[in-house]
Amino acid sequence: MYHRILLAYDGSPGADKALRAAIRAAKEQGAELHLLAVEEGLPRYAATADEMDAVKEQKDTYYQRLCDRAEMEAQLAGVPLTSHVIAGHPSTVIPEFARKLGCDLIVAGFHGHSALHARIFGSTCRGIIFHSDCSVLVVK
Amino acid sequence: MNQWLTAALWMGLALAASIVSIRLAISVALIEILFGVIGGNFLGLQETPWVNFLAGFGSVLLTFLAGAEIEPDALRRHWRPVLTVGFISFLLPFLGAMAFARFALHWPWNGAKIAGIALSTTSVAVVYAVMVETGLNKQDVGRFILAACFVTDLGTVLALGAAFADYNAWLAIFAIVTAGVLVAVPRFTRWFFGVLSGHVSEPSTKLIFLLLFFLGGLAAQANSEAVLTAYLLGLVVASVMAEHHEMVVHMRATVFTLLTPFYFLKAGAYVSLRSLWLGLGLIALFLLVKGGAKIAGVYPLTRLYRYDRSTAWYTTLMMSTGLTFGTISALFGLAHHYIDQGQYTVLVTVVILSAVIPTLIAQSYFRPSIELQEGEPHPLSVTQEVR
Repeated sequence: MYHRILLAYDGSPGADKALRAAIRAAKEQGAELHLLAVEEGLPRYAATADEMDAVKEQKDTYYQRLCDRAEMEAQLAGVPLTSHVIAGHPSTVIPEFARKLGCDLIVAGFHGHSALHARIFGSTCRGIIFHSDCSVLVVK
Repeated sequence: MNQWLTAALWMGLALAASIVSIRLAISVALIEILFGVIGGNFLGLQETPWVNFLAGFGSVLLTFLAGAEIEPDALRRHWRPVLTVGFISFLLPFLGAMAFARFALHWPWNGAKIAGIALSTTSVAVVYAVMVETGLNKQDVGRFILAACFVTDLGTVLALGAAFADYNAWLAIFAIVTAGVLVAVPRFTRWFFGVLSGHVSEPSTKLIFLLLFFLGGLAAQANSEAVLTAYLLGLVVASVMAEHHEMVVHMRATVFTLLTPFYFLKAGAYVSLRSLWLGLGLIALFLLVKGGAKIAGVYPLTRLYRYDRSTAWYTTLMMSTGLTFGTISALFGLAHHYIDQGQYTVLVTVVILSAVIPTLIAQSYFRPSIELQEGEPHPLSVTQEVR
């Protein structure tokens, strides 16, 4: 049913559950599996490019480690996994990337922020669902 | 207050600014300026000779690093449009803001020149941060904008160095020695870094500091500005620095820990909240003058170079940003009594707002899209496949 699945991954416990669900779905349906980690927290309005470079290098290393971990788990399950790291805001970057990659399913973990947090800052899952053209599976 | 307690107050503010900037994902420089405003207006943040030295050195190193960030390839590939757009992006806001300050507000000539220089700038760093986050730094349009920003900033530092200099024997000596050093430095530093780079005593960093102090000292003798030589030195050693990443990392740590916090806190400490309140109308007018001049200069040129309407607006807005050189120019004007604290407050506020407002508009309405081809990795992505 699904041919290309995009897993939104940030290394959180919710994302780990989503990783396992995505691996299972890809295996059952013979779908192509992609992982996208969105780098958040890059400094806006930097005073020097060095400030941006320093934070970017740090984040790249951190997210690459996350990808390596996820790839290891996929490899153990015998599922090919292609990982990507992109900077930006998850609720807009993930749907945009899924559209460009031609994915027909996005899998994301549930964070479980408080209702107040979700009301003020918005929930990432809600943002992904709102901006996506394809189906979204939120794993709890 | 003894010097240790004074230092503790400054470093406490710098530390708080770092934590807040990490939490908010906003540049530490911007937050340090805001904390400087709080320190200067409410905590009696004291200025001392050693604070002034650290802050001055911080601004010189910031300028050096800005110069060293250039990508010569982008400059070479699009040299004609880059030079034209970059130069006009400097010239029109410089003339526009100077004329506005002089003839509409009746500021003295030197104060008007400072207004022109401070508002002519483009922030390469603000633009670079946006480019990296959107992936445009790897696209032609992003490289073009960044290279043009370098040219604009070069115009700014040249103007700052030349506008107030004493045209005497010291200036001639300064110009000749600087030219000689700039010619010799790339080859010498490549050899020197190759032989001595990586040692714990950091001889490479010390060499850069020595050159900055020496050329800055000559500039000061000619009543020119140390940031001019710092930027030029950064430009000529950019490719050597790119080959010695470890040294850049070490220098970065020194600069961001010990030097730039003093510079940005000091820049904020001189902002008077009372003047800010009284000058709100003036701030809006200066913002309009800067934005209007950038639009009048950059937009038609980018259209002339066949950028589509949306990309032309994006380029124009990105080139309307400003931060580091704007505050450096304004602080230079205040330190040399070309402008007073009220005028400084107005200029710095305009500079800070110009870092934020054009970026928000450009990102929200005119961001060029990056198309991804089937099977091609996203330009931003670090891609790995496990089989």
